[in-house]
Amino acid sequence: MANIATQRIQREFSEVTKSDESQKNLISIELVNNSLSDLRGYISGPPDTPYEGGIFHLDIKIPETYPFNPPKVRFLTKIWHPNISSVTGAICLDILKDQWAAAMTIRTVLLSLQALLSGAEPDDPQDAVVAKQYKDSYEMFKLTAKHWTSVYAMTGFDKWRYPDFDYKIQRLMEIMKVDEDRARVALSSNNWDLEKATQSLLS
Amino acid sequence: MKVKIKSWRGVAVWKWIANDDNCGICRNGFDGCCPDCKMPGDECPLVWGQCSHCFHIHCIMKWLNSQNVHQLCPMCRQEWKFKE
Amino acid sequence: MAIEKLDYCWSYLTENYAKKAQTVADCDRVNEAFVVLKRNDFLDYYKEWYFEAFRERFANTVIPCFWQKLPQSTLPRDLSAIIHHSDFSLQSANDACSKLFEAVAYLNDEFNDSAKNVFVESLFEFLDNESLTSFQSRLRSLLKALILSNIHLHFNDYVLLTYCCGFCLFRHLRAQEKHSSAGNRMIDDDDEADSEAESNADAKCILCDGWIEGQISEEVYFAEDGEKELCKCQRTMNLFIEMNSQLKELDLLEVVNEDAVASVTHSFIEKKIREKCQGNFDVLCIKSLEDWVRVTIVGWLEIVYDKENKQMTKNSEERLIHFMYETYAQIRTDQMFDIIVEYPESEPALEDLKECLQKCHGFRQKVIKSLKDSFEIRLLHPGVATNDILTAYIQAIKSLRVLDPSGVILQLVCDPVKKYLKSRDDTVRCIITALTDENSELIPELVKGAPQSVEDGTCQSDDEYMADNWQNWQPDPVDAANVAFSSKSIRSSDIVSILVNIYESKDLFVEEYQRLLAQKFLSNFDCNVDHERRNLELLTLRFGESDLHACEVMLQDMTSSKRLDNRINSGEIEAHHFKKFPIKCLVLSEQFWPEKFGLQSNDEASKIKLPSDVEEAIDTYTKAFETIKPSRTLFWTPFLGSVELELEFKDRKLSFTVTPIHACIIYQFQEKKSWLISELSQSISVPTQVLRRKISYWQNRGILKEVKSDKFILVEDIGQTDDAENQADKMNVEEEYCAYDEDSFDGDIQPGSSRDVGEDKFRIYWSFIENMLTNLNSLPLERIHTMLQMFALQGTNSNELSVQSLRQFLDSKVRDQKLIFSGGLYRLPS
Repeated sequence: MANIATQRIQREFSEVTKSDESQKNLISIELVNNSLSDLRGYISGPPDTPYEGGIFHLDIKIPETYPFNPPKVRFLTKIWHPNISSVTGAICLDILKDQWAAAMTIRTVLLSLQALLSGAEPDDPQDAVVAKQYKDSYEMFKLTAKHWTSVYAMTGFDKWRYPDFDYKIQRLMEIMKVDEDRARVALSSNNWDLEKATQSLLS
Repeated sequence: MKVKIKSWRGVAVWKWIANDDNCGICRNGFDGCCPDCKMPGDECPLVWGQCSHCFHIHCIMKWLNSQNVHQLCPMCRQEWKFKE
Repeated sequence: MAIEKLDYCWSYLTENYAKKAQTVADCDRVNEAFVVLKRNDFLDYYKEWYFEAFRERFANTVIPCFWQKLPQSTLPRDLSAIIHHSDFSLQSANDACSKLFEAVAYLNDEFNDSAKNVFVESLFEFLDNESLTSFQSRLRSLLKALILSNIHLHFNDYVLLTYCCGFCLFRHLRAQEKHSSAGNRMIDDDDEADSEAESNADAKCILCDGWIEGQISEEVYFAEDGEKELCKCQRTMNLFIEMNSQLKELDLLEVVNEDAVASVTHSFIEKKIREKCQGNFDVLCIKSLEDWVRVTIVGWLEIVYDKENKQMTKNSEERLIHFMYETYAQIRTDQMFDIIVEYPESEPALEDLKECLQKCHGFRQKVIKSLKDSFEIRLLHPGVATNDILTAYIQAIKSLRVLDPSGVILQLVCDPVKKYLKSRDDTVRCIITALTDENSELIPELVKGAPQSVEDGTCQSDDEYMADNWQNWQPDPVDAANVAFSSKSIRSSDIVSILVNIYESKDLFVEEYQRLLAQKFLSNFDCNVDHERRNLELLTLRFGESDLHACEVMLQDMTSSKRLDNRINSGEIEAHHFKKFPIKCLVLSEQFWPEKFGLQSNDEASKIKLPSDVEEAIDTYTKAFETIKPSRTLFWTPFLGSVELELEFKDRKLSFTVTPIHACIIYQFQEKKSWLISELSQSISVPTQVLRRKISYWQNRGILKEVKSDKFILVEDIGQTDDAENQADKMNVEEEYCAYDEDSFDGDIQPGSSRDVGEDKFRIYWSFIENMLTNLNSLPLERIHTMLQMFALQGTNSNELSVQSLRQFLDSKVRDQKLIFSGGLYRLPS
C-alpha cells in the first residue's frame, strides 16, 4: 500500500478504537490477516428499526489509492434492505461511490451505513425486490427484515420468532428439497406466499 | 548597576494558522508533514480553498488529480477553488 | 627333670631372643629348646611372651630412640618458606633428611632384628596354628600402633621436608639427565625452567653445589688444591628411595607419607601453574601443564610407591590432573577481570579456562560470582567514567563469548552492568559517541552491522527468567532461534545491538538519543550541526530512516533557524524594526522534538514575564517571521534560550551568558536594589522555589546577597576594595560563602604559591570529581573527600590531601565557573 494509505489506516484504526461510538459498542473494526488493506467492520442495528439488536459484519477492503478512492465495503451478514443486496451484501451508498471524499474515514463510512439502516432509499435501490416490497407493503417488509435480523445478525436465546414464517420455511424446504436460506429468500421475495414462492423456485 | 542585553536568543515553536490541527486527507498534523514528505513547513506547505478548508498541498493535489469530473473539497464537497 | 629342662630352655629362649650374631651352633640350640617347649605344649606361651617382649622393647627402647633421632632442632626454622620457595636449596634441608633416613633405617633394622631372627623363624617351624607371616604382620600392626599413638608433632614436618627434597631431587636429576643426553641443544620439554637453569650451570650441581661427575674436566678437577666435593644428589636420591622401600617394608609408607605426598604434589602443581600464568594470558598452557603433571609428578610418585602398584598411581594421577584443572581454573577465575580487560591478547587464557569449565563442575558459578564481584568493586560505582564501563562491557561481551559460546555466563554477568549503565545519564551519549567517533573501535562494528539492523524487543522478562532458572538451563534447541530471539540477542547479536539493548529496545534507545540531541541543541545553540548530521547518517544506516526521521527534522530546524536569523537581522524585513539588541530565535517543529524538549521539567517556569524590551523584540521577530512565512506564526517558550548580558557597575563591567530566567532576575534589580523573594516571584511570574534556585547563580557570583531570610540585595560595590584584611574578615564572617565570595571573577586571582600546590595535588583527580558529580548530581564537600579517598587517593598520604585543601581546590573551580556551589553542595553547571 502506498505510504499515505498505510499511515492513514493506522491513524484511523486508533481513532475508531478511541471513539465514543466504539466505546458504546455501536461500531468497531479489526484487522484481518494483519494486513492494513483488509479490515473487518461491525455495526449494530439502530434502535427503532427492524435491525435493532443485530450485529452486522462488514468486509472492508482498502484500495491502494486510499483515501483518494473509497474503501470497498459489503455486508457479510445477510440483511433485508432495499439498498443492500440480499444475495451478495453489496451496498448502494453514494459516499462509497461518486460522493466519496478524501476527508471521509472508515468511521464516517460505518456511521453512514448505520444511518442507511435507519433510513432506506427505496428510489435508489440495490435490491429491487426488497425495494418493491418496501414501497408496496411496508409492514411485510418490516416483518421480513426483522426476521432476517433475528436469524442472521443475532445470537443467543432472546431471538425474535415469528412462527408463521418458520412454518412456511419448513414447508417449502420439504416440498422443494431446498436448503433453509433458499427457502427464506423465495418466501421473503414473494411476500411469504407459499404458493408463489414454490412457483418461483420451479421457474 | 545597569543591565545591558547584548543579545537575546530565544526558542519558539512555529505553527500554521489554521482552523484545524490535522489534514483531513492524510490525517497527519498540519505542523507535521504529509506522508510523502520528510520536512514540515516550507517543504510541505498548506493551501486553503475558498471554502476555507485547508490541506497539505501534496494531499489536496493528489485528491484533485483523482477526481475526474468535478473537483470538490474533500470536506464540504463544494467545488474546490484555491484561495487567492 | 623335665621341668628343669623346660625351665632351662625357657630361660634360654627368653634371655637370648634378641641376640644378633647367631652361629650354626646357636641355631641348633634354639631348635633343641623349641623341641622341649613343644613337648611341653609351651610353644603358644612362648609366642605370646615374644609378642609381649616385642611390645615392651619397642615401646620402651626402640621408639623413644627413633624419636630421639629426629630432634626438632634440626628442622630448618622457616619450613613453609623453604617448601614454597621456588629455588629450593638442598643444603638447608639436608640435615633433616639425613636424620629421617637414619631414623627409618634404624627402625627397619630393629624390626628386622626382632621379627626376622632365628628364634621367630624356628618357633614357627614348630607351630602349626599360625604362620610366620601372619605373626610378622601382627608385629607390624603393633609397631604402627606404637608409632602413631606416640607420634611427635614435628615428625610430619620431617616427612614433609624430606618428600619435598625428594621431589626436587627427582626433578633436578631428571633435568640433568636430559641435559647431559641432549647436550646444549634446545630441549623440547615442558620443564623449560629447570632445563634452562641446568644448562647455565658450569658442571656444578645447582642443588647441592657439588661437582658433577663426568662433566668436569680433569684440569679443573686437579687444578686446585683440596678435595673437590662431588654432587651428592644421586646419592641422596638413592637414600630417599631406600627410605621409601623401608617404610613400605614396615607397612608404614602410606601412613607416614600420605599427607606429605599430597601437599608436596599439590603445592608444586600450584607453583607450576602460577609460574606459567602469572600475569600472562597470551599462551595456551593447560595441555602442557597436564603433560607436566603426567610426566613429572606421576613419575615421582612411581618412585615413591612401588612401581608395580599401578592402580595406586593411576588413581592419584587422575586426582592430580583434576586438582591441576581446578587450581588452574581458580587462578584464572581470580584474574578474570584482567583477562577481560586484556582481550583479545588474553584469548589463550580464555580457551584454557573454557576447557577447565568443561572438566570442573561448579566452576561456572564461581566464574560468574567472581566476575560479578569484581565488576561491582572495580566498575559499577560513581568513580568510574561511563566510557570505561562501556569499554569493559564490550570487552566482557567479546571475551565471555569465547569462554562460553552459549552466552549464558555473559548474560548473567552482564545483567547488573547493563542495569547500571541504564541508570547513568550519559550512557547514551557515550554509546553514540562510541558509535560515531572515527577513532572508536566500534566504527567497524557500526559499518559491519549495517545490513543487520537492530532487533527490537524486550529482553527483560527472559533475562529475569534466566537469572532465576539458570541452573536448569538446557541448550537451546536448533529451532529455538526465532522463538527466543530476545534472550538470544545478548548472547549472539553484534556488539552494537547489545549496546542498544541496554535500553531494552531500539525505540527506547532512539528516544534517548533524540532527547540527548534536543538537550545538546538547546543548551548550545552554536553546536556543530554538521558533526551531528554525520552521526545521524551513521545511525541511520544502522536503525533505518523512519525511526530517526524526527532527529533529521531537528537538525533541519537548527540550520533553517540560522538562515532565518540572518535574514531577519539583515534588515531587509521591514516588520523587524527592533534595533536595541540582536534577537535570534531557534524555531522548532514541535511535533518532531521530544516532549518537553527533552528537559527534565520545564513546567515550573513555563510562563515567565520577560522584560518589556524583550517582549517587544519577540513581537517584532514574530511579525517578521509571519511576513517571511505566511500563514505561520511563532509560540515562544520564554524559559528557554541564552542571553548575553553586560552588568555595568560603577567601576567596571561584567559579562555573562545566562538563561532568560537568570536575565529576568538580574534585570529586576536594575530598578530596585532589594527584593523580597515573594515580590520578585510575582513580578516575573516564577514560583519562589524555582526562583530561589536561580538566584543562587547570582549569589554564587557575588552579585546578589541574601541579607536576611528571603530578602536579596544587589551587591553594588563588590570588588571595590582590594584590602586583603577586609577580605579575610569577610571570609570568616560569611564562612559559608567564602567559596565564591572572597574574590571576584574578573580573573585576577593571586597566584599564591600555597594554593597552587594544593590545586596541583587535586588537579589529577579533577576528571574523577567531574565523573562523580555527573553521576550523582550534587555532593557535599565531605562526601567528595571520602569518595576520593576510597577510590582515587588510595596509597597517597591522605593527610596531605586534607578536606581543607580539597575545599580550596573546589572553590577555585567554582571561581572558574567549572563548578557551582549552592546549599552546601557542589555540582556541575548544567
